[in-house]
Amino acid sequence: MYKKGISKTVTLGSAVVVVVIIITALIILGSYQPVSTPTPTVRWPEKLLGGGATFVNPLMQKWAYEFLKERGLFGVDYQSIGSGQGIAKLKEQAVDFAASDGPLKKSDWEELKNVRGGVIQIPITVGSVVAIFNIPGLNELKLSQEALLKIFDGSIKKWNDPQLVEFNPQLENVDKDIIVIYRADRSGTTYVWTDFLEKVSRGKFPRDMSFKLPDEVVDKARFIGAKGNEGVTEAVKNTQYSIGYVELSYAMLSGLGHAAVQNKAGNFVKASTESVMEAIRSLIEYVELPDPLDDWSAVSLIKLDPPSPNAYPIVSFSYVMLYVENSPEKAAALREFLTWVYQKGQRYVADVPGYIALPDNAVQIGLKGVSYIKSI
Amino acid sequence: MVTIKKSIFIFLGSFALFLVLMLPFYFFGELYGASEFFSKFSFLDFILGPEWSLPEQRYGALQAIYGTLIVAGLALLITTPISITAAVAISEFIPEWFSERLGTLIDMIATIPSVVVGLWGILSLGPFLSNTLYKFLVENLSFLPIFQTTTLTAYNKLTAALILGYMITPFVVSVIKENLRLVPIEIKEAAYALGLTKWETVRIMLSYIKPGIFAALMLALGRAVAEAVAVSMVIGNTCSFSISLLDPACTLTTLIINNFVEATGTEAAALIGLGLVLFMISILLVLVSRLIYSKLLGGYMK
Repeated sequence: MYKKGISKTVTLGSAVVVVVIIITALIILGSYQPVSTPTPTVRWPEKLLGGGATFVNPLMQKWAYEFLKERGLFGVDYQSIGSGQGIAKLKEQAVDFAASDGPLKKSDWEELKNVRGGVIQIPITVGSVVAIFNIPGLNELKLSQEALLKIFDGSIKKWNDPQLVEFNPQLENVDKDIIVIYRADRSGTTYVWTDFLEKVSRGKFPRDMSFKLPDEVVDKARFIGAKGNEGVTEAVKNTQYSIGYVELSYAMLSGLGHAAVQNKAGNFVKASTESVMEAIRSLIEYVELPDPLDDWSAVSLIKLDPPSPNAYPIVSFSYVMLYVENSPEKAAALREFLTWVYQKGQRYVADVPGYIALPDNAVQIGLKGVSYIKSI
Repeated sequence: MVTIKKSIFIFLGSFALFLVLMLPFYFFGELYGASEFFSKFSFLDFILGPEWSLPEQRYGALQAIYGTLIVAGLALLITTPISITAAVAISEFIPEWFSERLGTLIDMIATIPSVVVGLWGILSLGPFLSNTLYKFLVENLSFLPIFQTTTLTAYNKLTAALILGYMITPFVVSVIKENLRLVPIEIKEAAYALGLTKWETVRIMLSYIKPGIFAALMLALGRAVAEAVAVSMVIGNTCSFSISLLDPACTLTTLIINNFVEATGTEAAALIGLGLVLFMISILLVLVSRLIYSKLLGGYMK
């Protein structure tokens, strides 16, 4: 009995001490104001929540990390759930911003036009899709846009087709079937690629997140669906006389050759950091893009066809989408983060292999979009 | 003490009941998820529609069902002789000190994640097969429609079936091994006493455990039908009714895994509908195998 009494008091005593310590700690921490906060009047949210395209994910993670390290204001939590899911979450108002490999569909845009002041769509980075190929003994391949379409819609069947030999005399004796590797899973990469095929075919080839073989194709066995950019790269590597399409960064890392594509000016240009940036720069210079608050669904950089003679023609924007009206905290945070991304953040893009910084005139579009953010 | 043990037992046992109760929940959950789709399209059109085409909103599962059955069936064909031979060898022929280790190694194959097996298929097995076995098949046996193809790649039904066969073999081996162990010693002794050779004895043992072998194979078939990740990596994913084993195909699971992440609305509901079809195929398999199993069992117990 005696012993029990002692232990009871001891437990009670230590519990009281612990509670007191916790309460004091909470009071001290609660009253603590970090001295380094630049604008003490603004209350930052704990974090910004974003979600969407997997393509921008490595970049977003890099930005979130550097932003927190540099400014220390709040974290940015980006979940790569896919473009479609990102837009769905934006509609449900479950995220503060979404990222997508394509602009909002017209129907989506109209649906959200009157919700929280409408949706701002701003380009956040540039994507570029290239055709990688595996032809033994051949490192360079020149393809006209028409030829590229015909390879992927199945009407050019062999590598020694006159339409290919015209620009690639080395193919003359390659009497082999073309094996076409496409993305089996849905992706922004396919969206960009089919956007290109749609343009060249004047609307016959459907633009979509998944690659759809035309009904006329009889020899379906020539078409292989592989999973992910990695899967397509591996499949092309393992399969002689094949051609597939991947994001530029994967082509660069794979060591496979990628095709030079004929651009609007008639030159054959291979994708590279320079030729992609040149494409974007020349586009914004010569073509009027919509306002960030307008409908972007008709905008396709591919269809606008970059006019510069040094531009690689298969490029696209990835977009960030957010509502105009946000709570004061969220509005301030969104403004802070996105402005940082467009200014200082562009410096970090080069650190992430395969990603390309926005040209200055694209940054201006982004900053204009950011200026629309309202707090209510 | 006894009551504590008893209550723990009842508590854990109730999970088994819970699993059973989950089945109808699962079924109705799928039905509910797909209801948006089935309110617009008929179930018959869904099952008998040949093609799955998003841009045109054509949702037909038949090519996928065809692919699923061919690939899973082929995997079963591949695994049956291999696993029976392996099980017999391990439990009867190989010296014990080695067979135990071998058994453990085979069991370990079952623990390899399917994405790793798929990667192995892409990186080494596929390229190797297309340069050797497939080349041989196309050059020498292409008078058979199942080995006819215009373009030979590593991505086809046969690769998928081989990968699947590899994945399900450890299960079958392990079950058959246990079954062989349970054959009453009297039967073996009787066989030897009659002067039968070891080979003849094994045949008697195998026919004694026929129902067990059958059950193991059905379990494996169920797993083969449901496997998604590894198959989607090597099957080529181009849906068709092509009869050639060296042509690409798609299955129910690969359609789901390739499209579900980005799917919304009707399409997502249609994909859940595919899940429902898969579920029904599995149930059908179980029912049919139960029927055959009880018939087999009946034949031996009478």
